[in-house]
Amino acid sequence: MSDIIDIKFTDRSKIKTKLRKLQFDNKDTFDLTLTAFQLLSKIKESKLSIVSSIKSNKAIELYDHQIFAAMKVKNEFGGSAILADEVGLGKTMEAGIILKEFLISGLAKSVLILVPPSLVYQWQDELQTKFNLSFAQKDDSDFIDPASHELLIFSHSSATSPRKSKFLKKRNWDMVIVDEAHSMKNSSTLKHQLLKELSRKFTLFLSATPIQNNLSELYNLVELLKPGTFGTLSEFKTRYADDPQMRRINPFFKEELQKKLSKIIIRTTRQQVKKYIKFTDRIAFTKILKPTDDERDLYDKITNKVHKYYDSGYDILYLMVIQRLISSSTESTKQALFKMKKSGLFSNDDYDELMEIANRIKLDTKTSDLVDVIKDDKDSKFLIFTEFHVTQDYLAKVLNENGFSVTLFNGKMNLIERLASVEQFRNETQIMISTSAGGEGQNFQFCHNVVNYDLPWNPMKVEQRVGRVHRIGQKNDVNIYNYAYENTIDAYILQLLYTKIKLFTMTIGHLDLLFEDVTDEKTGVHFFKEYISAKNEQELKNNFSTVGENLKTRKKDLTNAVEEFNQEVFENFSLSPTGETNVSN
Amino acid sequence: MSQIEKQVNSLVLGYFSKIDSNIIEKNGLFDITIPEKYFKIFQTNKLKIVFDSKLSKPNDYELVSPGSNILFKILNECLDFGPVITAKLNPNKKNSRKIRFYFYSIFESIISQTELIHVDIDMNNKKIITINNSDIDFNETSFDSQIQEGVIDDCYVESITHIEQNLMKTKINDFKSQIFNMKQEELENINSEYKKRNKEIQEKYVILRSKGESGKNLEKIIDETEIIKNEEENIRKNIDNKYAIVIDFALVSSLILT
Repeated sequence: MSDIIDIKFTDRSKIKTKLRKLQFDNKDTFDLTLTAFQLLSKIKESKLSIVSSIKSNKAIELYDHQIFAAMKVKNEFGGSAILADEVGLGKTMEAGIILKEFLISGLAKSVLILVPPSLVYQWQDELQTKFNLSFAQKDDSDFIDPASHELLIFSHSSATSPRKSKFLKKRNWDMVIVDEAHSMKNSSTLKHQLLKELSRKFTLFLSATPIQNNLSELYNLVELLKPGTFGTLSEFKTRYADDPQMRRINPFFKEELQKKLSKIIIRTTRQQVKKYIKFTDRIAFTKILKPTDDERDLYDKITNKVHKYYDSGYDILYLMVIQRLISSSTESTKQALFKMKKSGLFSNDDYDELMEIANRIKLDTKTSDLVDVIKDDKDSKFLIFTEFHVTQDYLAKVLNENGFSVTLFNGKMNLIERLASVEQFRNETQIMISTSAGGEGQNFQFCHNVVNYDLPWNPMKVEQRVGRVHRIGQKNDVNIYNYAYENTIDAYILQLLYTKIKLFTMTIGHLDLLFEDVTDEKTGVHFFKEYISAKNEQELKNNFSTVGENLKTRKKDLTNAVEEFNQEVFENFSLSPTGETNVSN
Repeated sequence: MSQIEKQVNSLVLGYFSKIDSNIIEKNGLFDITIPEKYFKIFQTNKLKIVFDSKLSKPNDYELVSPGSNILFKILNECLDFGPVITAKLNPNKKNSRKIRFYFYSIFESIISQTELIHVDIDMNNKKIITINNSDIDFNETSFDSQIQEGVIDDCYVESITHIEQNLMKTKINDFKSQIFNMKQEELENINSEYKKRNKEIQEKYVILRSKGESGKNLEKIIDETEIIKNEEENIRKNIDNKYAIVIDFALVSSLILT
């Protein structure tokens, strides 16, 4: 028999005391209580009790494959699964339904969600707006410590810090959810080790690409989910792999492997749902504008200074902030000037001279163009992104002066303010101006125009911006307006990366693989170094061309590898909860 | 309307009546005015609700069904009432008093089962009895005498003994063996995997020794053995936690019959 059994007889409502004191209630109260308990039992027994409630939420579009997936995980998979739908089919939604069902039926009380750092806000906001679930995360003002919250979201990286992981490992979690779970595939990483040690009843892994390079990745993920399923790695390799690198499946045991996977993985393809989901396109408008003489002069003069300080070994991260500020707007450039003066990088004379130029610029060329774009489509909503609050305020002022209605959204707002801001944009205003931090948290399918007023130098961040709008439930093609000035770092990144490797039209979800070995900040540093270390324009072009070519090759290899591999494992085999067979494209 | 929907409807409207809310119904749309005392529960003084999902979106009324916040709040309120009431038993030949305890049984592990059960006891002799619901007259509720000290506790002890040893004994054992089987299946996989991993590593060790290897490579294998041992221990501990069983028989209401 099971080792740990605890039988309790509790009296939370102090009924014995009431009986002793002869404190009687009326029949209505009695009936209500018995009905409440009977109802609670029915909810627990139900295959999936919360469907109607979720469907009635305006913020949610629920699809059949998501309901079936949740039912399957609850009723057939024992609450643990790899949710491996192709990108854009709403894996987060599936996880949310399962989570809510387990919480309201009492199957789970403590839940830990591990997500990439950039998705912490998004998960927190989505769980609040769509499922009315308040998850804590470490940046919340009322966050105490990981042991004090029953519902917790942590980024992969902060969860693996020694102090946090110690806290997390101490507890017995009812449910652990891991987004982008393929990043746990490497058994030698801290993330993998953490998951191995977390005590839990139910586990959900979310990944559109559970296998990318070889079968050992699949083995490692399944080992974390249901240890012992495939025996040892060498046994697994001998039986299911057809080559030493484990890149091909042994055809004799393919069916057996698929059968085992069908009890662990749920995977719906776009092909299977195209009957009821309309997938829209992305249309990128790259607007590399010619700056005015003053704008050019200001940018070049500050960039020359940045060059000089880079060559003399000045802190690269600081210089990068300066370069990003001067790429955004004249207002943010003024902030950069002030910072440089304060740090002693500018003399007072230099500062005054450059500030004089900045003050002559009354309206940025980019802003002027943006106003025209919005005027041309005045019945549509626009979601404008900028990296900086100062640019956000400047744009809000100009757009208001031009008669547009504007809502702001940024990382300084708390959860309630953020949600109110989204509602305002949804119901009242034409434009939302959001900083990147804010942009990660919400979905705006009701809008189909995204403006990158300045460009994050990390393509993952750009994807997150566009992903707020271009996702399941979007009814229109999404227009993406990308702004930069000629001969600036933003222009190089736009031309040589986005145009060359067509990142905007790349299957979303593969991006993280393309940039997987460079963290968020490092990607920006990488591009900045290429830019700032070039001695002349030709070298600059060559540098970016090489980066572009390398990424292009890597993208091709990656796309082929992932698609071929997934096709081989999942080919002609149904892992979809709707029961439809995957069709090779 | 499904049975769940009917119960939700009855519970929610019953609750709002109990707290003296003003309820106006028109074509399935309910406008509820909440008394001031209850504002803090619902964070508003007016609710627009429906029980039919088709009416929710077109009318902008909140659907009350499993998963909804309003239902969650009402459920929690009602679950905590812990009502004690009196009623008349017909016929009551010996004219003795009886007591009924309602327990909400919660069987929790990797799966969960719940059930509302009751135990009837004759308060005179503390013996378990069976009372038909049809013999209870809830309209007769007067109770004017005292209950002798200790009787309630004696009856309660009798009821929980009955639950553990008779009423729920089979269910407890079935649940335990169901969980045990699930746990065994997982443990067998773990046993087999770690047995093989240990064997593989031992074979590696023997080969290295036979080749006359010493020092670093052998140390590496010893370290690896230690890692595998810790990993296995940890997984076993986690499996124990995962399949731990908690059974709670929560006393949720009681009825005294005269």
